[in-house]
Amino acid sequence: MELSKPFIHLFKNEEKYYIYDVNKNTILNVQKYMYELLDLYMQDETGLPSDKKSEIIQIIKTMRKDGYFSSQRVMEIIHPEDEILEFHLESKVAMISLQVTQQCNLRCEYCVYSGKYTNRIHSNKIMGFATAKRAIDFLNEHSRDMPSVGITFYGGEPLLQFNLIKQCIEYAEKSMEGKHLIFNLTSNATLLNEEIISYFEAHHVYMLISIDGPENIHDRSRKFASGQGSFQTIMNNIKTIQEKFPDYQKNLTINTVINHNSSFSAIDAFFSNCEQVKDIALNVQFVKSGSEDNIYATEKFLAEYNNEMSKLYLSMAGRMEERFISKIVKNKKKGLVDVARKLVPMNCLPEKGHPSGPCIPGVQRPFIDIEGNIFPCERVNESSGIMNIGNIYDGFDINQIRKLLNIGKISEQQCKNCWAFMFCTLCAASADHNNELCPMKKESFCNDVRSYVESLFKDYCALKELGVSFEDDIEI
Amino acid sequence: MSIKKQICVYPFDAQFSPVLRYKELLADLNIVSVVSPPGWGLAGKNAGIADGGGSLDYIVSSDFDAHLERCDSVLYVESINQIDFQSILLPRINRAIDAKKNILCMIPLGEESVAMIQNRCAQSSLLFKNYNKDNDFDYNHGKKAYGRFYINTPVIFVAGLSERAQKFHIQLSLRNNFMKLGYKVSMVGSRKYCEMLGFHSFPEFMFKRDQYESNKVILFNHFIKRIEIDEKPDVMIIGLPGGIDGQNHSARNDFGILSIEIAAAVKPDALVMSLQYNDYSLGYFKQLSDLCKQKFGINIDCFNIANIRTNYENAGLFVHQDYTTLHADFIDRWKYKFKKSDIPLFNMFNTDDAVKMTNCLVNKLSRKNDLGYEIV
Repeated sequence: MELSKPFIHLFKNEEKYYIYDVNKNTILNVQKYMYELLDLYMQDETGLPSDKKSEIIQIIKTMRKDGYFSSQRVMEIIHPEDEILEFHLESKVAMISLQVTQQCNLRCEYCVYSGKYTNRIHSNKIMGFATAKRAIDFLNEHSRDMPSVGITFYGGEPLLQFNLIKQCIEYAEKSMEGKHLIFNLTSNATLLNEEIISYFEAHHVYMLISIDGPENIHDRSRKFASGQGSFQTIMNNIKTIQEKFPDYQKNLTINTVINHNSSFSAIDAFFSNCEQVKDIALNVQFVKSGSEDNIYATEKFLAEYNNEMSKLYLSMAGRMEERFISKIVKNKKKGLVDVARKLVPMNCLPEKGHPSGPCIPGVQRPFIDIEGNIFPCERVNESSGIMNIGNIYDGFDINQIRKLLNIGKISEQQCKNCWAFMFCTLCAASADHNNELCPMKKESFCNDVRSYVESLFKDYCALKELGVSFEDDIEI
Repeated sequence: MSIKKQICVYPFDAQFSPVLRYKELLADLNIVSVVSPPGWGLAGKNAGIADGGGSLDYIVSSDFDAHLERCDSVLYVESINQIDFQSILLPRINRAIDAKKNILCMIPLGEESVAMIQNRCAQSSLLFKNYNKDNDFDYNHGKKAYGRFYINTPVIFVAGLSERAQKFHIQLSLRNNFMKLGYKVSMVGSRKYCEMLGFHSFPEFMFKRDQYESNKVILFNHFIKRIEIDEKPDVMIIGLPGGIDGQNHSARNDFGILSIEIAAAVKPDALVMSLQYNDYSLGYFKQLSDLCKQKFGINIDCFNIANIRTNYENAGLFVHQDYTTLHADFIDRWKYKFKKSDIPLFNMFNTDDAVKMTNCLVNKLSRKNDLGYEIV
């Protein structure tokens, strides 16, 4: 009798051989011989000689006695939160991002609104206070089960609408008294002045400031509309904070967008040594792929980056002090800790399930544009009808939200048979194409996702071999 | 007959909802209004929305000062939502005293605050009543008891698999329904202010650290026996604080330690188990009943499915519990698929189910053996 093929993924790291059992959600370290046999079998069993085939069948039977190597798949793709979606939308909205303006005083090369990406472009439109007020009321009405909520001000450059931001903060503090409020702002920091900083300090506003590296690198991409670089203006503003509002510095985070053909070492040295920035928390992103200028990493960049990653791994294994590690790669540790957290052993895949990836649209971080339309987050294409999930006047469009939540349904067979089911990172934004949810567009990202997950698994296994426990950061 | 105090409740949320639903148990209090901080998302809405259990006769207001005029007393209540005492509660206590209103308090207060409020009320000849205080059993503290009494009256345990599983609502419903049937009910509730509802709060000594755990078992047994002797009830209902499930690594339910102690102190004759919502299978209920047989010596007689769901993915080791409130009719629709099974499933927000649960327990407790004899 033919045995069903196990639902597994094989990968190797140098001379170590591993099998990820999808049903058990567990990585097994196996012998080379077993790995090679299974590799042949999983690729094409028909060409195998019968003695090898018998050996493989025996291996599979033995593993199945131990509870591994099941061939079970999820039977129905449906998100586990689907059945109570309406209740999440009713009382679990965690935050709102308010697009207070579509104007910006900079013209950054890689901006998603620069016209090089599939999205809206810069405009003079601004949000009126009536709309902002309604959005805050909307948040109040839909966050009963949340002990705290966030209000983020977004743009364009939100500081162009500082008066509106003040009105919003004061209205929220009054109308949402009793709820713990967290205010955030994403800014290019060129318009900061003492009045603004003082106000933000008094109202505990957290600010995410964009700086891409030392002056020559930052000013390549982040320029005023006049063409002049913005670096010096930002540094002067940060210096003002440090000299006149030193306590406020802890409310700052720097967001850096790294271009792969920049100098890694120069950016690293800047964030490690520059007085204005070295003590501010750093958030790192890489330039979004999919723009008209396809960005490729230089060999030097890759070499320097990989060197720092190796040092990070040594540090996690306790063989190098953390102070020698680049700030740029320190965030990567979280990704690996997340893998460890997600590798919780299971008995088997559930009958009904959905690939990990989508958040609950409208609940985690809904983005509200100047007209009051609601989108799942600020990263989706605002000009796409398919991403519009309602508005602050009529409420959520639950049918549309359900479609975005259950995005795996459009590629059901592929998802059911994908070994990265539990680690997928794709959401509906990956399928957004010409105002439709396009399976082909979504599936075009699948190989990259699987490569990424496999690389995480390899790093995880390598670190486990080095003796890393992934629990050292727990404070007890 | 004393005149009922006209009370405004503040700050109202789902924690007070069971009391509001069974307000007839408040012998000398008449609730005229319920007020919440504006940020709790309840203002202008029917009060029933707080616990998702169906409409109530109150619309929640956020205007505390306007409602001061309609009452003679303010009842400050515990809430699920956290509220800052200094910046929000205390100013409203002071404003109520300034407006010559009695102060009734269910929230835990520090000694300094109690003294301040007491003084201010005394100066204005106002009543200050603090319901949230240790109501320790008056036992001979120094004497170490060795034995447990046999409790002759039928005892019903109301337990929750986890916290926030509607236990208090069930306790009030059962008390109400048993009393309507003419039974005399003695009850020990799972909260601290139960005396205002006409029954006993869970004794504080069970939470104290100056007692051996084994001694707590004896003391609780004596506590229950004292009530049995003094009140001579037809039935006793004991609400078990916390949750009984110690298996879930990411949810703290006191690991079921208290329920083990209570079960060692008093043997239940019937067990009501309340669970938060999840898409349970039939087999799960049987497994849970078997677990309770080991813990309490008794299978589960009635399961209640609460309209709360914990989001375990977010409720980590050092993160607050993350809940979603569902509508009560969602539970009715979900449990319909078990209609043909013999699992005794109930939804306590459904008034028919509430009566059925009471009847189920009455039948269980009054069941004679096959030959019809009784112990004298």
